This record gives sequence, structure tokens and C-alpha cells, in this order.
Amino acid sequence: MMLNLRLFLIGLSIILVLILLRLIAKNKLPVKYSLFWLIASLVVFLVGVFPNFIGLFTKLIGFETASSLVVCVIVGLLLLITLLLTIIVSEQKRKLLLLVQEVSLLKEKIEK
Amino acid sequence: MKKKVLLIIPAYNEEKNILKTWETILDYNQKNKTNYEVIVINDGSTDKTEDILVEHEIPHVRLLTNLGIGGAVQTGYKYAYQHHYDVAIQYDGDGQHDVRYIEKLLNELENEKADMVIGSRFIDKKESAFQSSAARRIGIQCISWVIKQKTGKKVFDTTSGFRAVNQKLIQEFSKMYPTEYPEPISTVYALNKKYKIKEVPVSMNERRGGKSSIHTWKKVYYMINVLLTILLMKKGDKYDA
Repeated sequence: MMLNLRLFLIGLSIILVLILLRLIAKNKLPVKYSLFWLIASLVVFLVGVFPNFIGLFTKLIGFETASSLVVCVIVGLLLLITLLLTIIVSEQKRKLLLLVQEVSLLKEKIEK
Repeated sequence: MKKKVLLIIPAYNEEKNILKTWETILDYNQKNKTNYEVIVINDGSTDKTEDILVEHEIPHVRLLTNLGIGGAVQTGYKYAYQHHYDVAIQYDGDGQHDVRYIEKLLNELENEKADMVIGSRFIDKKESAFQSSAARRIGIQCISWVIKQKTGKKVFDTTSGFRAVNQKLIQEFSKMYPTEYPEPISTVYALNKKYKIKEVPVSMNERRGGKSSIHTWKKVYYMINVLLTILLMKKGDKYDA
């Protein structure tokens, strides 16, 4: 893997971690949801630091170049995060439904 | 002792129909010495539905925001549960359903010891003048076939929104009711939990106004979703479409 790409990945992961830590410190992002991002950053960081490691996988899975594997891993991570978000949204939708029903029923009782 | 019967009428932008529906029921109660009570669930309507409900003192719950048909109907079941009704009947606010058939549903519930009675358009073809379009009938038959494979019970009118349930199912549905595609899904849910379901032939009218909750371009999407949900449902499963 080219040195440029390695530096880019290392830089990217460090910036990402800094942003995450700042968001956590400012109470804008709960640790629970940041954990996945932190792990994702770690993966990107490791790929940058140990390119041989990924070179091995590149051959094993059948990619031509390490860079396309990197792109693939990142896309995979994004898909996972999106799935996680879909689950969270569905959960919240269910809670919201319950809340609206109960409040509306209570209002009916009070206003009668 | 006479049973306490509640009609759950979900209404989303039904300003043209809701008053007529209410008056028809009042009229029927007077003429037949019945006492069907009504709760309209105003599902966050943006038209004058709420004004009409307040002005004519129609018993109703106003949902703070639009929840969709499943969420609205479930609110009705919760209301029925909290107020200890013996029977809850889902009834459309747009004039599709005929109040004269309610007695038939109630009798079947009582005599056949059923937990749910569905008013069906397809058992007796002569009974119902309105049979809905060919495409929709095929869709309904398709769902019916899948339900038969899954639960072993033949339900003809799987999407009928005209149905009566007893106290046991009121309680079940108040706790758990699908938010989307509620009719077929809740039917399978009840069957999976070994509740007894019966169908009686009824006649339905074409809706007076307003739109069906199933739009043309959404039909295929609806079918895929319903069939997939039913196929993935397991016995005693919690579900949420």
C-alpha cells in the first residue's frame, strides 16, 4: 500500500477520534453510540499502521489492490452503522407511538 | 346482562363522512333499542374533523399527531380496555360498513364462542354488492392462501376492517397491535395465539369519500410487506410491522 494512503488513513482515524472525544465531552454524543465509531476508527488506524496485515487479507479475499479492500471495509462499516441507526429509529418510533397514545387518552379523560 | 359494546372508529381527515356515520349509528340505536357506544379516534386530522367531533359532542380521542391506522385503532382498544367493554368493534368512518350487520357479528361472537368475528365480503358473494376491484381481490386471496399455509385456518376477507373482538382480544390488542397493515397481521397474531376466529358474510358499500388507506402505487409494496411479515411471524412472537 502506498505511503500516501497509509498517512491518509492514519490522519483520518485520528481526526475522527478527536471529533468523537469532543462530542462526548460536550455531551452531544452518548458513549453508547460513539463506541461503534471509535472501533471503526481503530480499524482504519490499524489498516494504516499495519499495511502488511491488510495485504494478506487482500490476497485472501481476492482483491486486486489493498486500496479497494480499504474502500470496501469502509463501505461495510457504513452499512453496519446505517443498520444500527435503522434499529434505533424503529425503537424510537415504537416508544413515540406509545407516548402519543397514552397522552391522548389521558387528555380525553381530563377534558371530559 | 347486556354486553357493553364499543365501536372504534378511526378517522383521518373524514370531515365529509364522520357526521353521517355518527348519525346513522345514533339512528340505529334509537330504532332498535340497542346501545352501541362509539369512540372516534381522530388520527391527527388536518381538516375540520376535530371541529365536527367537538361541535356534535361525538365521543372521541384526539391523537396529538398522526399515528397511522394501526396506532389509531390500538388507541381504541386501549380505551375499550380501560373502560371495561365486553366487545369492541372496528368500524370505518367513511361509510363502508353497515351498522345493521353489527348484530350479526355480535351473535356469532356469542353463539360460536369466537374471540374474533370478521365481517367478510367474500363468503357469500350475493350478500355484498360491493366486491372491490379484481386486482385487490387477487391480493386478498393471496394473503388468505399464505395465512392458510401458515396457520391452517382459512380466512376469506383478510383485509376487512369490520370486525368484533371479545374482552380477551381487547386486552391482547391493547398491549400489542401492528402499526402497519394491521388487519391481516393481527389476524395471524390472534390465530397464532390460538384464538378462535369466525367470519360472517356482510355487505359493504363503496366508500362515500376520502381515500382508501391503500393507494394504487403502494399496492405491490403493501403485498410484499404483508406476505413477508406473515411468513416471518412465529407462534407467540412479538411483532411489529
